[in-house]
Amino acid sequence: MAFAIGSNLLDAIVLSVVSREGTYGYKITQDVRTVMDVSESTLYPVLRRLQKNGCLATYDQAYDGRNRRYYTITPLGRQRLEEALADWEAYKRQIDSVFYGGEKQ
Amino acid sequence: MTKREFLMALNDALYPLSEDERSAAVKYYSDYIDDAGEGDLDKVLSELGSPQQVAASIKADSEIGRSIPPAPPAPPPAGPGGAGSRRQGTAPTGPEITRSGLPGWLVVLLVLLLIPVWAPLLMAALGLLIGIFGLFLGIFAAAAGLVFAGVWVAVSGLIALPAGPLVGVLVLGVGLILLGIGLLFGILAVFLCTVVLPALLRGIGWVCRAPFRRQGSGGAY
Repeated sequence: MAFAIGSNLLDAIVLSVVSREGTYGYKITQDVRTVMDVSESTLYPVLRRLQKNGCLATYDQAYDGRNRRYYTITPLGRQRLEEALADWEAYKRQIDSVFYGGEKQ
Repeated sequence: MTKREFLMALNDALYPLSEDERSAAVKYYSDYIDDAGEGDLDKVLSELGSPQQVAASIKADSEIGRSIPPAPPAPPPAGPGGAGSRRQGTAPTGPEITRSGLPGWLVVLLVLLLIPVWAPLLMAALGLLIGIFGLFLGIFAAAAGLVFAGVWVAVSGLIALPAGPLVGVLVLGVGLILLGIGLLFGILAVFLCTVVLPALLRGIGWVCRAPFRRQGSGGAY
């Protein structure tokens, strides 16, 4: 992608991906990588930070003869995501108004 | 390299971090490697990068994680041992980190010890500001005075016109010149108040907030 991605945006994308379903590290990485070019080792620190901030929680569940660690979004995380979506909407409108001369998309 | 070797090297490379941190990271990458596929372990490991690179990205991030809650006041610019370059090249979109390695108490001590240095500087800056405001006020007063005097002289000239046309016209002219200069000063004063003053105030606000700006949660726009 031609545009730099700030850590706030990356946090919001991860929250959004996790908010759909309880999911695990590899799947989160794959889901995020479908929309942006991040390296395989970028997401663990993000997940860990969000977990420490209380935006994400983890639980272990048996899968294929082992315990896999799943991530799920907390109420605080959901609130953060809502805020990020509102910010994104405002940001997008502003950029659109520059790109497309103020026509509402 | 086997999965086990990778995870052990990762654990070692994470060493300054707590047991909790290390085992969480090892668990994550253990799951990750299992989920990434049975067949091509070498490919998965090479995509992840070396255990040292993976560990470096975790350590870099756990530092900002720690620095957010206590929020030390006024961190000085990174010293010679600054941790600015700890991030590895593998994470193109990782959070931006520039954090000096000084503990909070040392910062407070430095601020206290350096009072003789920054207090006079602060006073000088304050004096300069008061001077600038004084200058603005002076320009205003000059504009008002010139306009007032110009009108006064011009009116005197008009009154004197019937008695002595030559002197009357001269005085009227001088009055109009004064009025013109006064109006120019007025324009200057209005420009200063509407453009320069707000910019100046914004600048002061910006400088005052500068020490606290770095604690925004890694915001990088």
